[in-house]
Amino acid sequence: MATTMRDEPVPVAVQVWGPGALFTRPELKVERVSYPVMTPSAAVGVLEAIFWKPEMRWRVKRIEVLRPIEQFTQRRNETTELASLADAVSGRRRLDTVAHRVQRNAVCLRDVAYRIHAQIDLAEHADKPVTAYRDQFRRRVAKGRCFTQPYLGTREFSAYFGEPDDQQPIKRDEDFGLMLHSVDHGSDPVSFTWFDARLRGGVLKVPDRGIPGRPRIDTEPDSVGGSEG
Amino acid sequence: MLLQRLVEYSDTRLGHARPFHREREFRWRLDLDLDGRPLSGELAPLVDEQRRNRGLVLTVPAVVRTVGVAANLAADDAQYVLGWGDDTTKPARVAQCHNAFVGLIEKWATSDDGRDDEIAQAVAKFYRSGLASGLARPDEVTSKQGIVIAVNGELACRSDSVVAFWTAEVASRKGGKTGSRHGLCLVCGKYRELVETVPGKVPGRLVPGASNDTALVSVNERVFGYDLTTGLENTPICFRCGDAVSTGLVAVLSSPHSIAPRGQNTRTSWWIIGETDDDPIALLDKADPDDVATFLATIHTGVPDDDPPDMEVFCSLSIAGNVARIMVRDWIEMPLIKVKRNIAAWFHNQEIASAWPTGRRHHPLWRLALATGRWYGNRYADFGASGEARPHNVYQQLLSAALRKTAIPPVVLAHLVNRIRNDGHLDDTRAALLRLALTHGKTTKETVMPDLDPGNTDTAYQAGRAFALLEQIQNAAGSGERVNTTYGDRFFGGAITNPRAALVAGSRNAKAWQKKLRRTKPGLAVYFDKQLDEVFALIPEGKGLPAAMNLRQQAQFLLGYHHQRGHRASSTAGPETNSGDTAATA
Repeated sequence: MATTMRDEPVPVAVQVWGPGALFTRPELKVERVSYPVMTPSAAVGVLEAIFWKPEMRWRVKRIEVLRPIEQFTQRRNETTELASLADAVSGRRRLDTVAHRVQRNAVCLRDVAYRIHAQIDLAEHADKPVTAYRDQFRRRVAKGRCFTQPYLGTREFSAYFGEPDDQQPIKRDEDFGLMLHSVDHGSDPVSFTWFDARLRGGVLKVPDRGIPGRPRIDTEPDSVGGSEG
Repeated sequence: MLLQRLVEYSDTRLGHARPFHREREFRWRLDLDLDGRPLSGELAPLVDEQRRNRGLVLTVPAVVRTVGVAANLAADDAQYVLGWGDDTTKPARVAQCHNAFVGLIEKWATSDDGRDDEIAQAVAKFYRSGLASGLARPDEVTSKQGIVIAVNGELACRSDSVVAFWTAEVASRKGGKTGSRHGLCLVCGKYRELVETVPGKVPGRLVPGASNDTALVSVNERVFGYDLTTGLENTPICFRCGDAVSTGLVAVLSSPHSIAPRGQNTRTSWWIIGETDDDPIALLDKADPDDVATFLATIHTGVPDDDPPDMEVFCSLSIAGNVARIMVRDWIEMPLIKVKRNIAAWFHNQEIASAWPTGRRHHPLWRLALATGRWYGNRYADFGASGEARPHNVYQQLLSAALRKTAIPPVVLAHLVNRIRNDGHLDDTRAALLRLALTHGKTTKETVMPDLDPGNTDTAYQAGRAFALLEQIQNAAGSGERVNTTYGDRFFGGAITNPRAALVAGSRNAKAWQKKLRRTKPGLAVYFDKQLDEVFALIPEGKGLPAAMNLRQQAQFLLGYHHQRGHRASSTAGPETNSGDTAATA
């Protein structure tokens, strides 16, 4: 019954904003530096915090930047002490944060707002039309309901969300280099795909598929561009 | 795009750079012939003619080594090249180092690249023959002094086969325990061999706050790596880009376009992509009056701000050190024309009337940063001086605000007002910084004039004017008499936060000062009467003077005070009325 609806694109949109954000660049992730805009993987995190089902997954199509890009820096005391999952579950081990304290700098974003446009992809075992999931998502956004509080890059920066309005994106063009497109947790070790991130007129377009981090044996491109969906 | 820009800098400006090569000082040269025999029984000394008692600086194959033994190719320490130790070394380790060096030479000579290289073969023959142990050792040579090998007068490390062999050797060393990986490089976007750690480090002397040689890209703790991994497993960077990032970063930081004021925690370096000789930061930092006037006259080209041409791109990197790691404090990449417009706004917003008829109306950025420090009565505390009482990042904060056209951080204004109150000193530079803090990057429609603004209805501003007038009346009435504690000395600090008490006391005393002034300079007395009446008329009768002022009001008070003093100095210049920059401390 859902097969007739499965291939039709059903766009949804949500607006998120917050006083701060940190979308860490992979090359500068210890003394962190943020990308100037939200990454697709962070957008998926926001969408999943609002609505998630095993029968569907989110595909981000584009992200509109609604407020000027401003930065601030902060230094924090952090810990390098980490308990294993088994220790954490059993509660036997206490963390000695004082003995493992380090100070780290972060270049974050101030006063951000984005409009995320995404699409719902159904899993094979989905038993409802895609519009049912879309409408459920829209109802949740309208009522401000979420499974967990969405955040903007890191959990310190909680995000507010609401229905999209007609606010125009900022006028800015910029190239950000390669940006993380998605993470495949099914492979061992986890693998990543990337895309060439370009902001045009305040809009970051996200291709349907990223460029794999490991070359494919059959088709090994010399460089990447990212195919926009 | 920081890493991409650094690689681009390395490629375009250091095009001759060979991969995984670094500059190093060498004191000695070992000369061989093509059969691997020493040309003489001893080493030839190398001396830099321009630096007495120093060796020659040569660019040779080299990678960073910390505590482990790792030989460099055909040029290294005496303990590596000839196995010569000294009092500071352990014989076993020296032997280990020498064996590693000889082993690397053998590996080079038998490699695909070095097999047909007669220079590689000559060096290998030298070590195989055992002639190395027969060389006479000069008395002055130490284990860490550099020795470079030459064959037939040519440096062996410049041989044709070196680059390919050395690159492969570094790749095998830096590829990690599991060997090098092949994957997508984040920087160049190509599938290449990937590093586990970035080869090459930035010397600690170039990075404020660093206690070691530093790295820009590294993950050395599990909690910071994706999926709890260390190294660059999930930060794919290829060997070529990894080396170029290090080379480019060192070149950028050691270029003439780099500023690191002593005592400040940041180094800022900048460069421009494109054909231009413009240097916006030099203009900001020096603010030569003629240069500023020319700049402001030519900057407005009629192109809208929203769509500046991007033919020339300005890049600026501000960094600081955290032990052995580089932290990026700021990274700016924007069209040069936009930076120029932002700088024009900076100069426009800091323009200030001088307390002296011949004073400057625009101030250099370093001077603005200096003015946030302690005032010693005749000068500001130097950068980095003990007790300077200056924020450690104020220079970088001001520079960033100038380049980005953003507001001065409120903490800078709070610090400045506090310093003025404690020092009892307000001069042109501090007044310029006050005006910047009130105007630059703000969207408010409130105007803060560079010169005296008689119609300004801001109570705090008029209170500042009134305070300056009362100070001037006392000064004029004294006719040069020395007073132990002037009105300004007594009330200036308190008046900044609570002008009511100071002005009430001043108004009371002004009657006696005016009486005295009328006997000697009646015209001046009339002038002051008129001025005071005008100022107090602008302070609303009902509300009166605030008993406690917020930060913005305090800044307005100080600007009113400064403007009134500058106005008096320029309109009725005279020795008795111009108490100079340090009126409040006189």
